[in-house]
Amino acid sequence: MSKTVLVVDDSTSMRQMVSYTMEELGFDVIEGVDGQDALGKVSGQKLDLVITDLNMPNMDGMTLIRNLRAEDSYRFIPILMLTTESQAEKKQEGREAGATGWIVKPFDPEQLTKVVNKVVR
Amino acid sequence: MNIDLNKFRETFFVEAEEHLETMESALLTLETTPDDPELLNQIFRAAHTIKGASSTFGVEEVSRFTHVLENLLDRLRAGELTATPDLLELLLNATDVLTALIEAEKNQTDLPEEKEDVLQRLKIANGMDADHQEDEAAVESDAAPTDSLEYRIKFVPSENFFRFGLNPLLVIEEIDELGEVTACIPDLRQLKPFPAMNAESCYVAWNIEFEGAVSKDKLLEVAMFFDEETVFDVTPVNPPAPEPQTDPEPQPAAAAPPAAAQGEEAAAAPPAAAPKAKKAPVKVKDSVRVDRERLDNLINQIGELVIGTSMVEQEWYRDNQHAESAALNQLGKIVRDLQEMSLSLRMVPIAATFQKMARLVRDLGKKLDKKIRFETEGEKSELDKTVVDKIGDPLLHMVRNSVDHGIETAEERLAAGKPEEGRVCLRAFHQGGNFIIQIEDDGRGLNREKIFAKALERGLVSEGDKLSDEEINGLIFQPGFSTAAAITDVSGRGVGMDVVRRNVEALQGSISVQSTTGKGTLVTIRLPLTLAILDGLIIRSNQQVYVIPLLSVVESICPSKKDIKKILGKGEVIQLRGEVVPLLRLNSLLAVRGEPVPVDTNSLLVIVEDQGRKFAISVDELVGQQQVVIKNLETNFQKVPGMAGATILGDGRVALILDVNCLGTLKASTPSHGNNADAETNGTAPKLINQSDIPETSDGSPKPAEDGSNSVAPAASDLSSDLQKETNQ
Repeated sequence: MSKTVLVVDDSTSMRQMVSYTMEELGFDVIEGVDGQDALGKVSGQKLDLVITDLNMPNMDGMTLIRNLRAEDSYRFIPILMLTTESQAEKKQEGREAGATGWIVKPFDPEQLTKVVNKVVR
Repeated sequence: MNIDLNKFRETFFVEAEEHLETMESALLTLETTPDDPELLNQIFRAAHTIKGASSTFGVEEVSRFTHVLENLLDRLRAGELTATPDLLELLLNATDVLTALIEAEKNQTDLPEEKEDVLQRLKIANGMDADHQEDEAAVESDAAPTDSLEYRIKFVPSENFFRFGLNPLLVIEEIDELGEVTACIPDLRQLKPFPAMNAESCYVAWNIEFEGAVSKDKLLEVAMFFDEETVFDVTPVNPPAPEPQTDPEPQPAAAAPPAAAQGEEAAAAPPAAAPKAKKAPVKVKDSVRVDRERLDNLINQIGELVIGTSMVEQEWYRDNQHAESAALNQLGKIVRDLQEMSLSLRMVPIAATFQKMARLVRDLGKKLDKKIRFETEGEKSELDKTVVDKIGDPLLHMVRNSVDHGIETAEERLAAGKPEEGRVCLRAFHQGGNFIIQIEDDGRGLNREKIFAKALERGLVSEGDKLSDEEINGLIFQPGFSTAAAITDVSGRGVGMDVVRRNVEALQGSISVQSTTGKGTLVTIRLPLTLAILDGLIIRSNQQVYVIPLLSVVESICPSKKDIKKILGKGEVIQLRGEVVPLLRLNSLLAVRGEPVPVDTNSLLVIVEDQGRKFAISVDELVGQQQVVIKNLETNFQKVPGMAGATILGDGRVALILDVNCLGTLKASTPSHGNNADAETNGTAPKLINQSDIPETSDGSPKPAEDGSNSVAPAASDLSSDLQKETNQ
């Protein structure tokens, strides 16, 4: 059975790129345009990985991560944050919110694949 | 895996443009409310998104520029900088440059020259030295050793390891992929009796022996995401050197691999708690991006469906005169609903177009040193996107006129007893099947005398002519007309208003002006809600059928002979409740083959109105009233003066749609039809298009005759001059 990834980013182009890469890796992709949208789409859904941007309207990435971790089904799944190099403090905050790791923008599909392979097989 | 990022670049450009619009709009609003934290956040987020996406998709120039801009915006929203008017001006300039950069990247043209200048100013504003280069993230080059080395790895996951979504087994697999795990020994000393353990905590550690041609740093990369409590000690096993005993006390894996330290700058101040505005949860619209062409094709095809359905209905009723078909009725309803839905797909709010004006008014007002308040009403009103795209330029021109010529300087206004601040208002609303846009200002209004004088100068009127206010105002639409004393580089060249009118008419709309000298001007643009369908009155003139747009029709009457008069030099007119209305003989006007029918008591006249002027069109029969699907003459055949398009009726006949506006113009340029209505039928009348002349191709669309014998419809000016020549005989 294939794995499911939740991709959350308010930037359409970024989201498309990540989704496409994940699909190439054999994942089923659920997309969200912001935290709120994402939460609405995954209640009860089986997830194997989450990749989320941080800066989003309606509900930012950090809050999304906290909300996901609060749900039993998602307490132990890997969650990756998309950060920029100017967001050093976000890594710490992310850790505290329960994030697994991060991917620094800009990144290309190869780099994304590398990080994904660290946290989910 | 080789993924081509180019396909996502397209989306990036579209997206970036949207974000830039948001930025500009928010910056403009900030000028009046400089402290709104949510706006600051919005602007930052937009720039941030562009920055991230641009570097991902390799649009370097944009990325670099946005990087500096983003820093500035971040400090702004953190409260470290205040939004002074100068700063906002700079940010607006930066937005402009960014827009130009994106355009340049998209079209692969030269970069805007202002880029460097604005960039330097941004850096200065940000407190950086003008030429300070942001430290590029130092890239650690991993010199991979050539020989296989041995390492001993002590891996002690923290108790919370699992709660971060981490999996020790994957870690071990990852290590194994770098070379070979020769031994993997779990350390179970932390295990407790089951009841004492938390099922979600990790109590197991591992001692791993590894062999591989990798450096220690490479191995440490595996620990990139580990938390501080997790131990990950990598010790090279060098056969010659004595083995350092693994430390009994765990060293926190704070030796963060260089890779993770890349580009980290010590955060000077923790991000200011930008108060998250507590808004009512916004319902995010789920939408799908659709290719424009696909949408147009869909709408077109549905138009064909409507025509096809009419034809079926016609056939049925031809053979079953008195029987109703419930099935056909049902089908008809469904098809019409479908058409309405398809047309609504292309409807977009006019808000974006109005927003562009806001910027113009502000910049222009500043430049001309006038205080102007810009207001909009009805931004959310929706209109076909094709129309929205084309109405932008005319609107721009009108607004420019208002600001440049309409609104007076502050001193003039005060002297006239008006408030110092002028007002320019853009209004949009639906009215009776039309979309109305109004541009209103409270400036000095149109000057009747000046306009008359100018018209006199240009020979458009003669000395004693009495013109109504409407007609005076209408004069400004003449080509080359301008009463501006001096041509500013903004406007006054006099090439504007007639072009505006032509553009509006090309959209099957109309434009009119009302004004009170000293008080202000109101320009009203009337547009159809969609260009695809039309409510029409089907009429027959001789053997031809035509469609008159219902919106232009005032009424239809059956005149008595005595109401019809001939005026020397002006042609026929009809007296309509005291009003004198010019009469048009469709047959003559369009030089249709066949005998013209002399007007008598049994004839019908359809009274139409165009820009305040009425005309009476003589027809032989009112065939019916229906909604028709407009087919573009230009793309299917060629442009025909006097015709706004064509349609296919239910019986398969092609009916031309009259351009009432054009007929009026044609009429105006033919001052004399002579005393004899038959004069037009002699052979020298230019042969215009007849439906029967248009040969049909096998797929039913008309094509011009191969031998070219089908005389090409002359240009409107030729037409009128020909008619003129002919009637002057």
